Amino acid sequence: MSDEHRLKVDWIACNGYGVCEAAAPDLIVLDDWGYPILPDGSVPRELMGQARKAINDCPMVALSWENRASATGGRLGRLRFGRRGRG
Amino acid sequence: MGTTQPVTQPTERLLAGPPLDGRAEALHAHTTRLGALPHVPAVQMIAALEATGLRGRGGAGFPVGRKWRAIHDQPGLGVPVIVANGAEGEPESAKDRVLMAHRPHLVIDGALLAARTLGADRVELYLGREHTAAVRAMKGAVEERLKSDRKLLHVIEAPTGYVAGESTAVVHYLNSKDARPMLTPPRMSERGVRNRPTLVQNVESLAQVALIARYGADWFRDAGRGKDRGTGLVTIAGPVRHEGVAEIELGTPLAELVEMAGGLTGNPKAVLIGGYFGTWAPIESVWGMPLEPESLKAAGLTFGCGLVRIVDERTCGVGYSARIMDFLAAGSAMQCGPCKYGLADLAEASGRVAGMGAKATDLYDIGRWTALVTGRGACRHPDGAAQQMSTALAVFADDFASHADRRRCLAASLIGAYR
Repeated sequence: MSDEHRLKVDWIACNGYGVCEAAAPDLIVLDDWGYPILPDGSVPRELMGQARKAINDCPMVALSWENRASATGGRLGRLRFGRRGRG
Repeated sequence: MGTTQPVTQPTERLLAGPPLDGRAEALHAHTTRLGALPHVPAVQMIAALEATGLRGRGGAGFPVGRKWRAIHDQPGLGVPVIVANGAEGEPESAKDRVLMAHRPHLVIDGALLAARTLGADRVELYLGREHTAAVRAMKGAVEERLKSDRKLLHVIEAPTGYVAGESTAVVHYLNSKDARPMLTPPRMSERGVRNRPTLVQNVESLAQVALIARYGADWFRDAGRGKDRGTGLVTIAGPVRHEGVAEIELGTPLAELVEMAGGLTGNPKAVLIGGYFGTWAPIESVWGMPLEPESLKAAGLTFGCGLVRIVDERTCGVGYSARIMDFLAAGSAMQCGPCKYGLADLAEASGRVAGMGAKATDLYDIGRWTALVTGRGACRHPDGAAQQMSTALAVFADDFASHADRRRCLAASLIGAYR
C-alpha cells in the first residue's frame, strides 16, 4: 500500500448532480453530461480538504477513496449502503 | 449478416464428428466417439488447464486455469456454483450457439468437470432464450444425462441483450432476475451466485476443457501456430463464399481463414475483429495477421469473441460503425451516466454523419466522446463501444471526412448512387 490518495466513483450510484465539482472545484470537472472527471493521479496534499468535502457532500454517496485504507471512519458503512441501495 | 452454416476445414476438434446439419450429437454417439468423461483429480485438472494456457473464449480472454485455481485455493467461502455462459449477445457471432446446437455434451462435460474439480453442487447453463436451437439441444442433452448429473444441471433462459452475457450481469440475473452488470467488487470468485464462489465460464471454454480432460495439455498445445495454443471457434462474415462458424488453429492467418470460407466474393476494404466491442483494421494491414490473442494484441487489435467481419469497398464504413454504435447505445444497461448519455450522443452524432446531416462539431465530438466514456462505467460496455468507434474513425477516416465535409459517400459513389 502506498500513501496515494486516489478518488473513485461508483458509476451506478452517481446521478450527475455535480455537487462534487462545487465542493472540489480545483480537483473535479464535469463532463458534457454532468458526470465527474476525476484527477488522474493522487490527490495532492493541499487539496485533501476539498476531496474530503466532495466525498462527504455527495448526495448519492458515490464518491470515495480508491484505497480503502485511506477512507476515514464511518465511510465504509455508508459506501456499502449506497451500493446496495442501487444494486 | 452471417448465416450459421458451418465451414468445413482441416483442424476440427470441437466440431469434429458428425456433420453440422442442425442436429445435436446424442449422448451415446458422443461417448462412443470420445469415450466417457474421465475422472481427473482436481489438482491435476487445474495444473493441466494452466499448462494449456487456455484463455476464456467469451471475449475477455482471462486464463481459465487461473480462474479455476482462484476458487479452488480459497475453501471456506461456501460451496461454489458453476455458470456455463452461453448467452451469446454478439449479433454477428454464432460460434457459441453453433457449438451448443451440435455438440451440447462437450459443453456439459466441461461444466461437470468444473463442478467436480471445484466441488460445486450447482451448474447453471445460462443460455440466450432467443437461441432456440441451442436451448433445445442443451435441454435435450441434460435429459440424456445420468440422474445424479441432472440434479446438478439447471437450464436458465436469459433475456436478450448485449450486456446480459457480461459476467457480473449473469450473476446479477441469477440472483435477482436483473441482467444488468454490477460493480465488480465483491469478486465473483469469492461471492457471486447466492453469495457463493462462482465460476462464470464461456461454453466454448468449457468444451475445450472437456477435450483437455480426455487428451491432456500436450495434445491441446499440439495445435496452434503462435503463442496462444489450441484451436478456436471463429465466425467469419462478409464478402466470402461461405459465411459462418469455423474452427481454426489459433494463429491461422486471416488470408487462410478466408480461403477456408471459400475465398472472397468482393473487394475487401476493412475488417472488424473481435465483435462489436472489437477493433477495425484496414484489410491490407491484417491480411497475413495470425488470428490469435497475443499477435492481435501486439498489433493493437483484439481477438474478443472471434468475430471476423470483413466489409468490402461498397460497404460504407461510416454507416456500418454508426449502426453498431446505435446498437450498443441501445444495449447500455442505462445504469452509469457516461455510458447512458455518452453512447446515445455518440450514436446520434455518428448517425448524423452517416446520413449526410453532420453538424460542424460532430467529428470532433465523436473523437472526444470516445475518449471521455472510456473507463467510466461499472462494466466495460462503454470502453468496448468506444473502441469500435475510434478505430472506425481511423480506418474509415476518408469516408468520415467525405460524409461530413462533402456530404458524399465514397462507398455509394462506387456503386453508382451518385452520378
